[in-house]
Amino acid sequence: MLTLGIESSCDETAAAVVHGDRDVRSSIVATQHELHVPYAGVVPEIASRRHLECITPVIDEALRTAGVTFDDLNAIAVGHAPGLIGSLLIGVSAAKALAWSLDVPLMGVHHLLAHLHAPALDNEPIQYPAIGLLASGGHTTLTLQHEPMHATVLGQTIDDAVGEAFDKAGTLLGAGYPGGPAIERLAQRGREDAIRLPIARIRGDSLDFSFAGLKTALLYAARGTPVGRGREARFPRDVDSLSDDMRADLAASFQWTAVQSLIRQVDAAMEQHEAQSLIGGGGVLCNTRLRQELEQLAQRHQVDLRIAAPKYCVDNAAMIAGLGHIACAQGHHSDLTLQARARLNLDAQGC
Amino acid sequence: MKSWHLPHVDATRELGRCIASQLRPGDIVAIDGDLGAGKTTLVRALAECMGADPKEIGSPSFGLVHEYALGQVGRIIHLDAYRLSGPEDLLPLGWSEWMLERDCIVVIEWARRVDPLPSQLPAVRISMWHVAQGRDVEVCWADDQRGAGMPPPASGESP
Repeated sequence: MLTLGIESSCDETAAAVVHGDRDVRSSIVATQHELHVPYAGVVPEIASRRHLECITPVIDEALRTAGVTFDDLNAIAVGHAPGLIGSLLIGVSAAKALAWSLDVPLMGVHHLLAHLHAPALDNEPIQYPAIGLLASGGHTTLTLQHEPMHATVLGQTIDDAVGEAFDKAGTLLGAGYPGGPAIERLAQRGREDAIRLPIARIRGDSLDFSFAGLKTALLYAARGTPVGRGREARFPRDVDSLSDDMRADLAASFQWTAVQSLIRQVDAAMEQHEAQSLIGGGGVLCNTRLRQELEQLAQRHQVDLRIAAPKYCVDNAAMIAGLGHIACAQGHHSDLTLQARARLNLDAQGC
Repeated sequence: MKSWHLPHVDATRELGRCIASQLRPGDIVAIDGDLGAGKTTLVRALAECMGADPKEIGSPSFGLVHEYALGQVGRIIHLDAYRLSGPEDLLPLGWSEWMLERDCIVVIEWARRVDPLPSQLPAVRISMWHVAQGRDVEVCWADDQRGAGMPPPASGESP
């Protein structure tokens, strides 16, 4: 059973051929990072135009690398939600056209659920129940899963996503974009305990996250307490005036605090729920410090730690194809009325 | 124009609710202020007060546009213009539709990035600044009557 997966929810145009739900035959990702660097973020109109240019060559490349042709495909899976609507539409339209012309089943896959399946790619099946941490530029979500197709949301960010906090910290410290790798590089030379930054405390036993306060605390630590009032208010210093050591200390302290904010809630979730595995997916899971802390946590709770390989942490189509295969095998499929949706609750439906 | 000092985050939230009390469908709310000045906190309180589902409300920095349904009628379009390069960038996001349907309240963070707006002036402009111990804010309503009718935030202090 070969499934072609298509992913275009944000700034990566991706296609992959997967045999069954885990055996990746090809996974091609055309990234647009460089196009968006001047804006320190993804610009939707630029992104969707670029998807349109890339989608056909990327699909061709996925087939060629896998050594198959269109006629060998048994199903088409596409990430249809959530994401930037103009970007999603390109992938969804391509998937529909292919499914219709090849007369094979079409499956719309929830992008976040696919990230939680990513650790199984090129690897052993995930043992359920599992606690999942999904951390990226647009999402910070804690889940409980009893099977790959359904997830219950235990907590999510009430303001900024953790990846967004890294991006904003990167901009604030003049470290560059994307902020995740930039902050991690800068942090290597810094001391994690140099500056005390706040870990958000959410009321009650909530498993939600908050990163807005951390971002503001970093701003004040970097630029000092503002002077003056109203329109005339100014920060006493610019980031440019900080020494390299100071910037490295700020980056290391920020990274430590962001990681601890995640770990604290994952730990609480594992206290509250029985699980055999701890799953990690999304771009922020590329962060080495976070991976180290998750390893310790998993050991302490004696669960199987399953973090996606870095190439499957970031947006890719292999995770879409793999989960799409599971959905099809369970008898689900979408029809040609499948819609791209900018937002779709993880709880609302399986795929 | 009115100015306040907001000594803590609850005062920012109060201001959000005070502004919400004067808004009606078709309005545009333009907000400016640096990173961490409290723009998203203000919008969250405003949107919750008008009936948006708190679980739906979040920072639109990544997705650029969020949309919150308001009870039976109307919706809030919550936009982050930080990465837009001018007013023309609003058009592909759905600007004309929001303006034509008249059931939306469009709230724009980093509004100066898209100034002047393509077709309509904001009903209210809000500017926020980091100051020692809190934030300073200016609120300027296009319509004086609405400005006069807006209750002051309870913990807001004279600047």
